[in-house]
Amino acid sequence: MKGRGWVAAIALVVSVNALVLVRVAANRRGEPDASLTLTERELPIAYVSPNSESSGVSLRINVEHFVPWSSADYCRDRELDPLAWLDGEKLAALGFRVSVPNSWEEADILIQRQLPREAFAVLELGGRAWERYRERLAERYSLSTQEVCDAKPAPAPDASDRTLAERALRFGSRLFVVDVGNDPSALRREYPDRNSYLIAPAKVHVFLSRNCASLSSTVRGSVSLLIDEVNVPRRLQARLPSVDRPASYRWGGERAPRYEVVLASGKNHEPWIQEIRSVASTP
Amino acid sequence: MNKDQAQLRADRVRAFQEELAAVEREGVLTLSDEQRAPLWAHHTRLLATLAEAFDVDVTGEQKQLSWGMRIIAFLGAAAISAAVYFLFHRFWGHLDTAIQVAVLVSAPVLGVVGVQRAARRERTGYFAAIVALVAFACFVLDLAMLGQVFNITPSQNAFLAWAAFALILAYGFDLRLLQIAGILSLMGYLAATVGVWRGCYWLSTGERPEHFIVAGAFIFGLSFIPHRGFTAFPGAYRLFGLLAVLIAILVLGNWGAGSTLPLHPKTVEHLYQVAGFVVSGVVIWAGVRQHWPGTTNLGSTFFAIFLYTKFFDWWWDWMPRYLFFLVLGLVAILLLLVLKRLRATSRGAMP
Repeated sequence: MKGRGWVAAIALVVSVNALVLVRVAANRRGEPDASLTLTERELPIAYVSPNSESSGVSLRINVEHFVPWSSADYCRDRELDPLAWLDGEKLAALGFRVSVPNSWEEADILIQRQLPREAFAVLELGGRAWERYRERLAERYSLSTQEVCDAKPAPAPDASDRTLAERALRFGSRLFVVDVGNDPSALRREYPDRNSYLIAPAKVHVFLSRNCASLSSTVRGSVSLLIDEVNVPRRLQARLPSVDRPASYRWGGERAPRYEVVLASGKNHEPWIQEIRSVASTP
Repeated sequence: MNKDQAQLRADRVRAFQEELAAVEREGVLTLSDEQRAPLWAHHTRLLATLAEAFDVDVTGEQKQLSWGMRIIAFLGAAAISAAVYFLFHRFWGHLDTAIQVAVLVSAPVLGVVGVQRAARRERTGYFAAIVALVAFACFVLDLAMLGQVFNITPSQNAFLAWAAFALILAYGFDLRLLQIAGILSLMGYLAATVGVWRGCYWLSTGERPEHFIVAGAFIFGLSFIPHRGFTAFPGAYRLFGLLAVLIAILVLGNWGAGSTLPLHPKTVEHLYQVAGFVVSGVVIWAGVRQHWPGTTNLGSTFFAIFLYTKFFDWWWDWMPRYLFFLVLGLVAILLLLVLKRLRATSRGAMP
């Protein structure tokens, strides 16, 4: 080995990089698995710490939505929670233990201590999940169409839930996680519209939600994307209206969308930006 | 013969010369000039040859300086690696994708060429170690940034590639710093893979210290592979493997909720507290039996930590502080007496 180590090391570097690039090419070859046209609402410019010296630009895949907290179980309002469908049955199908023991202590050991599992999430753009969310939010806060249209961008940090709801309806993301599963092919068969449904690698967490009124516990889940930011290649950076990074992390869009993005996803369900276009916006 | 073996021989020669001078002073033995001259000439020649061929330390001062140089080499390598990382981050957004890939791939390749050059020009290996650690950092940056540029799903496999790269350089150029980098990367890969086999997401593996017990045991097992020409390498596998196992046991002895065992956290804690004493005792025994001084010291240190942690659990809340520390001191004296008796027994067993 001595003396020839450098040849082996260079061979390793070259072959590992070749493997990575072949994987990237395989992902992007042929027809994309999905191709969605999103706007700044769903793909805002990613937050970067002011101390960061990174010159890279990424867009964050925004699947977070405004949901008020329920005083009943210290959890997000079940009626408005976009992940309310992620119940015990769904979580059991992913491999989680979901039968809740009687004692809170036992439940904590058996349920809460389960580590997140890797899965695939189905992201729906402007579909039934968005319609349902929009209707329920408008109904909850008795919001008229005019009020939503008049919503101001970036309200004060201490804004009321009603103001936040107005803003969510006008500027918030229309991209919702609507399903999860272990088999991406089966999910694609179930959601065949490649222009509305994106299948993305994700991790699913499980937790116990306790209802204070009934003193009962239910198993619930949350989903986070494994690739939650998409790199913007240099050739497309100039098409962003201006690379003004948000000064702090926000869950929703800051303003009316100024650009739209064609986001594709390939055979490995890894996304990339195909196109960025400016859109005329109203303040 | 490698550098470690050459250093051992040089140390033996120095010790022999010092002892010879002592016994001559005490009048036990006196060599005649005819006996002394060829011996002195032989040792002088031998030390010169070893210094020339392996750049070994032939005096105490040189040895002290060598330690300083090792520390400076490590700090320098860490600083240059950080500089490479921040340099790339500062400018990568202004580069086209093809150029980004070219820079990322060529950086570790150039680093390896640099290691080869440095090793050829300078036999001490300090500069080769610096360049090798920078090359390793470039390879880490390479795979991490390719993942970011092409939005690749993160996986633990990158750790395997990093481990292979570091170990190739370690064995190729006899660099212990790179062996440690390789061991840590391999440990990360193994622990994450155990987590994935158990169905959890690989980045969550740190939340289950038991995964590191498996990884540590595997690393420890690597020390039994014959290492002809790399005498110091098995010791590093032993040390880091056992360190991972003992730290994991220590954590689980105080945080039962982090265990994979379907037991009550308190039961888990008790189990691992007992395991801590048993494992550290076995480590001391193995270290003494196999003449592994580092292993013995590690076992003794962890035995004391396990003991003191337990005392803290039992007595800290109700015992007056002066009494608590007095008990700790008395226990230390008791341990000292036990070790002294063991030492005397082993001396009695000497032929």
